[in-house]
Amino acid sequence: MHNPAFINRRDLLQVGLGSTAGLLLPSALPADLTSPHHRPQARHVIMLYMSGGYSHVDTFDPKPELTKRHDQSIGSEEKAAVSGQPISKRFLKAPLWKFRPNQACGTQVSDLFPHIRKMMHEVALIRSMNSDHRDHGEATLQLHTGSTTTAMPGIGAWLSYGLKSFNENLPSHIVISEHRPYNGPQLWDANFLPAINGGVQVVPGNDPIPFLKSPTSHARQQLELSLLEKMNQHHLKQRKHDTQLAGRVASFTAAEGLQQQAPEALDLTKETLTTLKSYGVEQGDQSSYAAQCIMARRLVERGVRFVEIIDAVGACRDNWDAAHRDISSHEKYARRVDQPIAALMQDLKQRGLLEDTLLVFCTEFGRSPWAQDGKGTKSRTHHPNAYSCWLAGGSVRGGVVHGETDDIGNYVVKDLVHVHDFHATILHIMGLNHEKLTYRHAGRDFRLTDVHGHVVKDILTT
Amino acid sequence: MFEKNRLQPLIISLTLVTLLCLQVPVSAADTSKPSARQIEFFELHIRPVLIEKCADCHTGEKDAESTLAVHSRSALIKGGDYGRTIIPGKPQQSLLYQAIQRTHKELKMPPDVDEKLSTETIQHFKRWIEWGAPWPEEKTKPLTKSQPKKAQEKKTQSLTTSHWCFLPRQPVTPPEVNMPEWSQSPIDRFIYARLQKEKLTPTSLASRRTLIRRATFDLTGLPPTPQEVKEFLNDSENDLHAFAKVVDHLLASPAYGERWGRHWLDVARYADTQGDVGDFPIPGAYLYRNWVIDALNADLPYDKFLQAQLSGDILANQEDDPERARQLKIATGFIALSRRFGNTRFEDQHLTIDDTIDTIGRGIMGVTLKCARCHDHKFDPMLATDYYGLYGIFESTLYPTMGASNAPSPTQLVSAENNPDSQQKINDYWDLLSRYQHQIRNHFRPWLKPILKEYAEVAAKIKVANKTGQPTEKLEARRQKLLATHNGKFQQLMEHGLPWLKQEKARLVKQPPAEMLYAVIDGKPHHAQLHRRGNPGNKGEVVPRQFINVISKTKPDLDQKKSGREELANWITDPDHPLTARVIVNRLWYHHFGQGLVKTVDNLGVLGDAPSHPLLLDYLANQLIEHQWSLKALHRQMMLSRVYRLDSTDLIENRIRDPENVSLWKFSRKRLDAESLRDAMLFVSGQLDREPGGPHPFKPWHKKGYSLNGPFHEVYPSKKRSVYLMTQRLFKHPFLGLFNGPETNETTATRNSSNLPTQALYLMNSPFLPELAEAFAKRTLQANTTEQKQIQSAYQITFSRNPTPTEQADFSQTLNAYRKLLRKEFPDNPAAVNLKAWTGLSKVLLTSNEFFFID
Repeated sequence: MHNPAFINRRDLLQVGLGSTAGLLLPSALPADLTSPHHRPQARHVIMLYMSGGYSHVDTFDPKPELTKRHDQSIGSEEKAAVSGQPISKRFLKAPLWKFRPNQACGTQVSDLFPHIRKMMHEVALIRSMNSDHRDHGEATLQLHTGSTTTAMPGIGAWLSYGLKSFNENLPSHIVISEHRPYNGPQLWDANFLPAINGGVQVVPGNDPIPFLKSPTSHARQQLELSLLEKMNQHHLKQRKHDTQLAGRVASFTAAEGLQQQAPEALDLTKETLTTLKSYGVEQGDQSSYAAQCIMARRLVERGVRFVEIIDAVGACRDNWDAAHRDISSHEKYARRVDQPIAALMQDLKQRGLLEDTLLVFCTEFGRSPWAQDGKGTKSRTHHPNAYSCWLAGGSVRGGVVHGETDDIGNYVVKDLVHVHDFHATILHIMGLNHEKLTYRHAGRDFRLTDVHGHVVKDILTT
Repeated sequence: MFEKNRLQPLIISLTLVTLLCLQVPVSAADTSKPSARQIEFFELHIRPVLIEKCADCHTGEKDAESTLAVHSRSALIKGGDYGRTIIPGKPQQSLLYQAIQRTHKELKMPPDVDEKLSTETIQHFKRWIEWGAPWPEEKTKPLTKSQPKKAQEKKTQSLTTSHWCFLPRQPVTPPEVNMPEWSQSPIDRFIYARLQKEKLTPTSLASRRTLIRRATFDLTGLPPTPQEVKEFLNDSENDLHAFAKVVDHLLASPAYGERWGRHWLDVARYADTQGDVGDFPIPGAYLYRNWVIDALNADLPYDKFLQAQLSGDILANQEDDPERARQLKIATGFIALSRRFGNTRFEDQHLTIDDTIDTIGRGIMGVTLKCARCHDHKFDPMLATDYYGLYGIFESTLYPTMGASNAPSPTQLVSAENNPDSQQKINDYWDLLSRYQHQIRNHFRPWLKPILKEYAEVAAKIKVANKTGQPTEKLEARRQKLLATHNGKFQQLMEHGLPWLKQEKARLVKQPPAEMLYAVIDGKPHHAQLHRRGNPGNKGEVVPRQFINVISKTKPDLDQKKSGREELANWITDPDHPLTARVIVNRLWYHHFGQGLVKTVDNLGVLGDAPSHPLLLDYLANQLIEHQWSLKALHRQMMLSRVYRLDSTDLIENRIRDPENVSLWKFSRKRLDAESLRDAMLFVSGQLDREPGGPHPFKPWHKKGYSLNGPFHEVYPSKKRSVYLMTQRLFKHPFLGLFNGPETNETTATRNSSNLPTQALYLMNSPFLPELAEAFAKRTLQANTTEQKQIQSAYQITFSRNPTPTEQADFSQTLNAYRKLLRKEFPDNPAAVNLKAWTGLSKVLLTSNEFFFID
C-alpha cells in the first residue's frame, strides 16, 4: 500500500529543495541526493531503444554458416512466429551485409553500423539476449517493465524511484519519443510507484513538452503567480506544518523552473558547429534522431537520471520490424542512428561524461535466421530466442563480447542473458540491487525483475 | 510470473538431449557397479551438498514447489517438471549441472545467487555425473532434511490462522465514556476511548462553513453553492440537527451516486476499453457504469449490489420483469470488464481470470488472493487450491470480447433478452460474422494465394467439364480438399469471392438479432486444473470449484449445471462472512476520513496494517448488516459523529505524538481527487453539464479495427461530470491522468495525491484553465455591479466565504496592476481589459490551495 506520508516527503524532496538552478554537472552533485545500495558505477542512463526488433544476424552476430547454407531447409517452425498466422517452412537466409572487425578489439559488426563499429572498443556486446514473447507489444513491455502482460512501472521509473533526481528543475525521467511506441505511455508510466517517477515525454519539435509555454505574456503570468503565492502563503500560515500544502506551493516554483530550463536544455542553437557536424545535424534541426541524441546529452549534463530515445518511426509502421517486409529496409533505419550514436559516445567521452553515463542500445527481440515467407524471400520474422544488445559507458568493459548463439543464431548456447538479467545488470551499474529495489503494492513487494534476474558481472570492470 | 513461452526452447532442447542419449550407450554408466573410491567421493562431496542445498525444497512431496526429489539416484534421473535431471555420463546435458552452473535459461540453483555453489563443488558434480552418477545401493532411503517438515508445519500453522480478519465478528458494545459531547454517537465513544487512552485532546468542532464544504465535496464531489452555504449558516436549529438536514439533502442528490459510484468504479477497475494491444473500445461499458451510479442512488443494499455484479445473469433467469432482468445482466459488467491481453481474442485468458479473482479478492474481500496463483499464499491462510477453486468458477464463465487485433469482431456478447433462443441466435450471428471477417481480412495473404488460385482453376475446369460432359469426380474431390484447407476457414472466399463476403457482412451488421450486452453468462461448468507456479502450460491436479477454505465451514455444494457464481455471491454476502462487511465499512471510512480504520484498504491480511480501532470496525460492520446492508445509513452514521465534524487545525502537542492522526484527534485535510477538481472547476465557472452521461461516440466495430500499431486512442471532449468521461486502459485521460485519477488496469483502493511540477505547469499554461476562468469571470462580472461585490461573489463561489479586508485589497490591487498592463496591449477596449484581468485572477482562485484542499 502506498503510504501517503512517505510520498509527500519524497515529492517534497524533489520539488522543494529551493531553486538552485543552473548547470549541475555530475561531479558537482551533492552526495545526499542519491541513495544507492552500493557504489554506483554510473549516474545516468541513456537508453537507445530500437523499436521493431533489429536482426541480430544482420547486425551484431556474424553467422558465416548462414551464407554457406543460404536457402537450406531446417524444417518447420515449432510455433507460428506471429500469433494467429500459419506455421511455415524454414529456409536459412544469408545476411545482406558484410561483417568486419573493429580495429582495436576485433568485435565483428556488419556494414549496417560502420560508425558504431568504430566505437566497439567502448562497448560490451551481449550476443545472448533472450526474451519471453514473440509479439512486439508484449516484448516491448517486457524490455521496459519486465512483464509481458500486466502494466508495471518501467525501468526509467524504477531508477528514478531508487535514485531520485540531480536537478529539481528537470524531471528525473525523460523519454524522447517522436511517435507513439508500442504500448504507448505504459512504457514510462510510474504505475504504482509515486507519480513523480513517471517519465515526461519529449516530442522533438515546436512543442516538446506540453504546457511549457505561458499562454499570456511573462508579465501577466508573473502577476498571476505572485497573487497565487500570496494567497497560498496566507492559507498556509493558518495551517502550518501541512507538508502537502507546502509541497504544492513548491510545485509551482518547480514548474517555473521547468518552464525556464527545459526549453534551454532541449535547444541546440548553442551547440558548436563542430559538435553538430559530428552528429550529422544540420543547423536549425531540432528534431532528427541525431538532434535527439544531442538533447539526451544535454539533459544528462543537466542532471537528468534516465533519458530514453525511442526510435518508433511512423508510430511503429515504419520501424525495424522486417516481418513480411524486405530486410534491406534495415539500411535506412541503421543510417538514421549509426553516426549519431557513435558521435554521442565520442561526445560524452570528450566531455568526461561517458564514465558516468551508461548507454544501453537495445531492441525487443531479434529476427529469424530463416526467411519468413518461404525459400528465398526477403523478410525475417520475430525471434525472441536469441538477439543482441549492448552496453557502454559507466563501468562497462569495452571491447568484450558476452554470450554466444549457435552457428545459425537460432538459440543461445552460452551465457544466456534474459531481459531480467539485463535489467538486473543495469540497476547494478547504477548502484541498485535489483532484489532490494522493491515497492510494496497490492500486498506484496514488487521488483523490476520480479523473482528473476542475475547481474552479468563478466561485462563489468568492477 | 512471467514464464510464458520460456519453456518452448527448453522442451525442444530437452527432447534433443533425450534423443541423443538414446543413441549413446548410457546403459553402461547405468549398470556398472560404482567403485569404493567413487562412493567415498559421493558421500564426501555430493550427498552433503544435496542435503544442505537442495533437499529442503526438492522433497518430492505432493505439495512441494517442485516435483523433483533428490533423495535417490533414480529420483534424480526421473527428474521433475523439467524432465530428467541428470543424464549419467553427460554433465553438459544434465539439467542439474546446467542449473548449478547457472547457465540454464530457467533454472539457476540454488535460487538465491548468494548461495551459488563454489567452482570446486560444481567441478565435483561434473566429475560425479561423468562417472555415471554413482550412488551407493540403498532402498530409496530418504535424505534427512536439514530442517525437517518445515513445509508441512508452515501449512498447518497457516490454515489454523489466528489473524483477525479471517475470524468471525463478535457482537460489540460501544465503551462508556464520561464526556457528554463524545457519548452521543456510538462511533464517538470508540474514538474518544482511544483518545483518552492516548491522552490526546481532540480539536474543537469545525465551523459550519467548513463543514458544509467538507460534506458536500464528500458526498457529491462538488462544492456547495453560496445559497446552500447561506441556508446552513442561517439555520437556527442546533448544529447537529442542521447538519443532519444537509447530509440527508446531499444523500438524496443524484450527484451522490455519481461521486460514490466513481469510488466503486475504482474498485471495479472500470474502463471503457479492454486493455489488449489494440485497447478495443467497449461501447456497452457505460451501461455498467450507469448501473453502479443508479444502484448507489437507490441505496440498493450492498449484499444485493454484490450479488447482481457477481451473478446477475443467473439471477435474471428467475426474474419476470424484462427490464429488471436486463439490468441484472448489465451488472455482471463487473466481471466482464476484466482486463484483456494480447493480439487475439481470449489470449492469456488465465490473466483475465486472474484479474477477476484479484478484483474480488482485494476489491470485495480485502485479501490478496492473487498471491495464491503461483504458490500457496506466503502469509495468509489461502492455498493455491483456494485460488484454483475460484478459478474453476470463472473458467466456467463466458467472458465477452469486442474483438482483438487479429480478429476485430465481437463475440460472446450477452443477449439483453431473457430467453435462451435469443442467446443462441447471438452466438450463431457472431460465429458467422467472425468467419466472414477472417476471410475478408486475410484474403490477400501470400500463404493463401496459391490455394485461391488453384481453387479458381479447378472450379473453372469443373465448369468446362460439366459443359463438355466429361467426368468431374477427380476435380470435385480436389475442390473439396481445397475447401477444407486451413480448417475450412476460407470456404466462402473460394466459393463466392470477396465481394460476396463483404456484402454479406454488411447485411448482417445491419441486422443484429437482439440487443447485446458486454456481460457474462455461464459456459460449460467444470473444475480447473491447478497451474504449477502459475504457469498455464504446466497443469497440475484438478481442483474442485470451491471458495476460501479457511473461511468456508463446509465445502460448497455447487450446482453441477452452473458455474457456481451464484453460490459464490451468496457465500461472499453471507452476514457471517468475516471479510465482506468489514471491507466495505473500511472503504466508506477511508473516503470520509482520508484513511481507513485499516490503512491498507484492500489488504486486511497479515501483511496489511492492523486496524486502528478494531472494535469500531466490527461494530460498524454489525450495524451495516443490522440496517439491511444500507450504505446510506452507514454514511449518515459516520458523518453525524462528532469525530467527522472536528476541525482540521493542527495541535502541536498531538502532532508530535500522533503525526498521522491515527487516533483521529482532528479531521485530516485532503486534496481533492482528480474528478472533484475538474468537476468543481467546471461547476464554479457555470460550465458543468449536469446531464448524466450516455454512450461514447465510438466508431462502430465493423468500421474500425485496432492493433498494436494502431491502438484505439481518443479523448472525447465533454463538460459532463468526470465519472462520465471515456476512460482507457492504454492511455490515461489528459486531466485525470495528471492529477492522480483512476488506475484502470487493476482494482484500486486508495488514490495518491501527489503535487507535481507537471501539474502546476498544466494549471499555469494549459488552455483548459483560461477557458474556465473566462467563463467564471463573465459570470462574476455580470451578476454584480460593484467591484467589491464582484470580489465577494468570486470568493463565495470558490471558497464559500467572504474575503477578509486584506484579501479584498490584495485582489483589488492586483486587478489594477493587471489592467494597467493590459491597457498597453488593448488601449481602446476597456471592457476587454477588465474581462482579461478578471480571467487572469479567476485562474488564480481556481488553482489556489484553498480551492484544491478540503479542511
